[in-house]
Amino acid sequence: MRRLRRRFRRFNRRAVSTMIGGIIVLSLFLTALTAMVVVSQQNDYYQTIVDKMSQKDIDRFSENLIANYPGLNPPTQGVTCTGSPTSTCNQYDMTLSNVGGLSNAGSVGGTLGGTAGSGGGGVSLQIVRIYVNSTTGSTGCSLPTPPATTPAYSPCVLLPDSAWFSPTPPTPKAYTFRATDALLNPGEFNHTLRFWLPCVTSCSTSTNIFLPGGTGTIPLNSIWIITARGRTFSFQWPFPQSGPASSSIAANIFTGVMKIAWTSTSGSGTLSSQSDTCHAETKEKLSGPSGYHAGGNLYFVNPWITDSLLADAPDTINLFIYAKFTNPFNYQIQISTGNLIMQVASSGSNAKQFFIGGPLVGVVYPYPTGGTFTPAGTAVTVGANQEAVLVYIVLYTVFGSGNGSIGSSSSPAPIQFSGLAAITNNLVGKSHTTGYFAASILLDGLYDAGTSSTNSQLTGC
Amino acid sequence: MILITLSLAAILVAWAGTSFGAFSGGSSLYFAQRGQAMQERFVIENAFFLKTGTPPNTLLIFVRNVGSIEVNITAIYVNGTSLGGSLQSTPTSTPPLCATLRLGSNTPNLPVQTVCEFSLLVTPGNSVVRGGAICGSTWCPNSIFYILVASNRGNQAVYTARGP
Repeated sequence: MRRLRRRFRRFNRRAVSTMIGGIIVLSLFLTALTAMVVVSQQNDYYQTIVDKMSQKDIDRFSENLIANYPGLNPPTQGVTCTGSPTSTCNQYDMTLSNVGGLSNAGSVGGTLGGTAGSGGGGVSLQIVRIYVNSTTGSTGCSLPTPPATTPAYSPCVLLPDSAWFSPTPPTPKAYTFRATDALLNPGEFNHTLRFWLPCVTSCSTSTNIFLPGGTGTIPLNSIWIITARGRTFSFQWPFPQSGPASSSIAANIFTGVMKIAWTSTSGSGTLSSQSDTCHAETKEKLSGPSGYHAGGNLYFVNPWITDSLLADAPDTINLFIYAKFTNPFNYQIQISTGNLIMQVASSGSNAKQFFIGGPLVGVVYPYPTGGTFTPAGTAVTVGANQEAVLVYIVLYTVFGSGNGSIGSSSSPAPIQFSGLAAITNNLVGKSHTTGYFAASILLDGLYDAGTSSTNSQLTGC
Repeated sequence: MILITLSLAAILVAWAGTSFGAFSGGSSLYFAQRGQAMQERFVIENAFFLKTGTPPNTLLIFVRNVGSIEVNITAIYVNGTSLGGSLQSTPTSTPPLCATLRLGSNTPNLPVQTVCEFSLLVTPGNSVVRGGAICGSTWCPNSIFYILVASNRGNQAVYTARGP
């Protein structure tokens, strides 16, 4: 028994040392573990913030907003509005496209490039502020003090109006833009944003904020658009003119590619259906046009194609047509078949300026001198090499609220188009004459059809 | 011997606890501050040069908070020179925003998604002019201005502008 107790005491002393050592090690371990847990939690929280802000940065830099031609429409003057010191405003409409995050989006300045959703996503954006700064002019956003009383305007700072969730249309207010227009969905094209600038006394006088336009070559207004993510997108208005500056026709022609479809060159014929091999082209894309937008993409179709993608067309395009024919026939030029644009006497020329809205299809009908124009009438025999046709169709930049000053162009007249289906119905199955021209002219272009009746450039086949 | 061992153990545990505590506390403070700085985003969305008016040679800088937390703007530098003392009291644009915002002490924070307009008087006297940025009472053509806005968390927003 005594021996057993002695053994136990010896064992007991060794166990105490082991336990003490274990406790020390465990204490150190727990202390370190606690510290590491705390640090890990903080690090996790920090990484969460980093991830969240990184995603915000990705969204921010995915934004891409471009202004579509013509940037700003001519203002509606004398709109009743609120806000000191005026009760009337000039109302502007700005056309924008959200191409952010679209891999197939058009380049800056492009209008028709890109298809919504083709890039696999896109980001919406919200416009929170607009700056307008006019570089010259006595009525724009260029003066440090207003012509009458406050508010001053240099630059003009536009904020969303307060009627954000109003069930009724917001009342226009000076120095604001319509809040409901501030949001652009991913891939939304030709979005209209409306804003108002005040008329201090009368919108018809110079004592109001009327953004200067004119026919100069230098854009007179810089417009900055600020998004909620902090991006800034800007453009100059009027859009810069890429061609030489002049009030003459020749100097304002922008060269580019133009396609003219050509039917039969001999005998009378019946316009075939849409499956006509010569006109079975679908939407075509022009590369490197000038005079419209630098790097922009322009499309055109021939009149036999019912292409829903024509909805890509801008709402409003200013078109100038100058036609000169050198053969002994009179010509009529129709847009969207049935809308007579102008007549051209034999070996003569004519010019006219238009606003167009929607798809544009042009048709040129020849008829004998002294004859009458009948689209489905008797054939007109055109001899070999008599189709010496020289047609200039020019899409030009409009400066300011006016409509440019190109030569002797007449006052623009709005032309409404009835849609391509109606155009097709009008054309299909009707007889046309030899020398029938069908031109798709939704582009800026200068085209010389040449002098040969079999000019391969015309066939498109 | 046991007492000596226990004493040394207590000292070791205390030292380790203090060290790890300081480590975790410092890390927490670091991550907290870095987290706040990370959430801070502000941009100079525009800068305008006023050529006429009272006073002339006024530089308008619009700063927007696009982050997740409030921002405290502490300094604005133009061409490397702090222009806090050149702030004008009344913004000239419409609408007047952040009229009470001043740099330096007692600076109110800039809330999220708000804009403040800083109106800075740029003269040859405030040392901003280098290489002839100011020609008499107006801006020298093509003069370059490097604008830097700093917050109290150490973030910066920069904007390079060419004078009118």
